[in-house]
Amino acid sequence: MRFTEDEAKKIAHCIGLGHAYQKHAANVSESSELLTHSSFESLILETLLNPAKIRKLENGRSVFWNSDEDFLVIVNPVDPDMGTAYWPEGGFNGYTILR
Amino acid sequence: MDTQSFVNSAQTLPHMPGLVGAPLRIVLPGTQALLLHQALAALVHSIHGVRFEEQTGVSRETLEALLGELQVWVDACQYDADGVIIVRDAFGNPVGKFERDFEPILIRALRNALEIAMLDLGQDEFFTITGFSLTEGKQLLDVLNTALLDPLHLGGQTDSVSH
Repeated sequence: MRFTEDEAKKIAHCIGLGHAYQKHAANVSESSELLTHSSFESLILETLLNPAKIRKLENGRSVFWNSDEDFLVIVNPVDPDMGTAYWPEGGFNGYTILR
Repeated sequence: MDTQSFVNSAQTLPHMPGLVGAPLRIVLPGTQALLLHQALAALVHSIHGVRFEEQTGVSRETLEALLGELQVWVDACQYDADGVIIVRDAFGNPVGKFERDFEPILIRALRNALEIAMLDLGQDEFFTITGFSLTEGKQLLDVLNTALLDPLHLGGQTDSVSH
């Protein structure tokens, strides 16, 4: 389930440029400044390469937890965007409850 | 119309008609039970800005209690060596069953929660976050709606109306 750096970069790029940016990143930045695509992609990459927790999920998906940012990345190989990434409302519970 | 019996019913049931009543049995195969759990989990733990009372008809605490009931079932399921829950057999058929009696208002809340999760997560994220397709979500919505109409005993009636 661990990705090589090249694989992680490709996945982070897909998710970072996909729907997740508009839906989750554009309005979440605590500094009220717009989180750029590039910084969102970097956060996803950091989470994929150095997760605090990783779990496999049903249907070939996997989830990576970033405890420093209370941020998770779900990798879904069959999704055109390769998955999604967001700050769950419930923090770590949003990670543990995923199946 | 038998208004007398309606008045009597209204007196014994102080809420809006259909909001409360005898508990109804919900029987879900393992896949649909997990889908309901994941949709409810998304609503409670992932989606921002949900107005629980207004959108589902019950409080956040009530939905968390319902999620807790489903969580007990999920925790009791079998898991493979990778820690992935097993809700399908080798042929893709559902494994396990979630069977419970709920008051209609709670079934309606579960239905509403699923609908909100489907609409909020949409085509982009419903499968990625829940592991199930929107089509499977709609099938579960149909199951919950059918359960809510169970007191009408529509199962044996024909659709045609003669004039």
